[in-house]
Amino acid sequence: MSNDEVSGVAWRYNASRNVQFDLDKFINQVCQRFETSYDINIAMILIDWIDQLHSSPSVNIIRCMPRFVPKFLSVIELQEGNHVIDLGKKALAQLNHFLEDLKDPRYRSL
Amino acid sequence: MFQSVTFRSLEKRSAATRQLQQEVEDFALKQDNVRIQNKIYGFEKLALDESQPVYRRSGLYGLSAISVALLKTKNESFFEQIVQTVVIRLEDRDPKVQVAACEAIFNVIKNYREVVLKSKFFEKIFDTTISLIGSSFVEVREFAKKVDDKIKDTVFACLTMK
Repeated sequence: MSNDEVSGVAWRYNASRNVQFDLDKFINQVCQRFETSYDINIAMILIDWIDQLHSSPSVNIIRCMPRFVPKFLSVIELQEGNHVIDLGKKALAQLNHFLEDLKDPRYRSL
Repeated sequence: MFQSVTFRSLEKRSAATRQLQQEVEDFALKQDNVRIQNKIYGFEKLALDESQPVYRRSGLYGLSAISVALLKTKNESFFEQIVQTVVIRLEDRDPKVQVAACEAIFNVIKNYREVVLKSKFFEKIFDTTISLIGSSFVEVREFAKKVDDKIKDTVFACLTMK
């Protein structure tokens, strides 16, 4: 590859770089992974993500709640083994955080 | 040089990595993109080698070191080329290669931060990292969690800046 060709690659890269981080797309990706996660470790990590996104004032993740509820409920009702119980507790705690928010009409809404 | 970054001894490997970084930094300061590209090609070839996992790991260590050296000299031109190869190896069939890819992507995220979030590979990086957290290999799982933590730091730092 000549210096000109390399410069061409570098230029094309720099020209395509002016992209913003797409937060909505990312939130959607977190939701999708959570909805379809069957592994306990993965579900735990994704609830952490949901919790932290929920804690951020610049993110309104509560609008995704209708998508989370079925998964939260299915995880909460599982009662086998310590890991699953931990996951259920975590899901229940997160669901409670969402419900607390919904009680306050001045706060975030669906 | 290509083989030396995969020495078993951490000390020797670190020395080889430092030497590689120094060479690439020198090339970058001289704006010698051809030599940088040749180094990347060499390690890319190793990282994409299907026959020997040790070559793939060696390639990943090298690419990781090059990415750090390039950032030190504010040269982000080869970022996507390097990340593309590392992302492919996150899905390697060999757990040791997956760990090496996790280490490499960890270094890339740690150093490039927002550039990673804005890159076209971010979706794939996040998705694969999450999948690796479900790996049956403890080491892969632990490294994937470290990568996930680094992604979290970067995303929330980015949100705080907005």
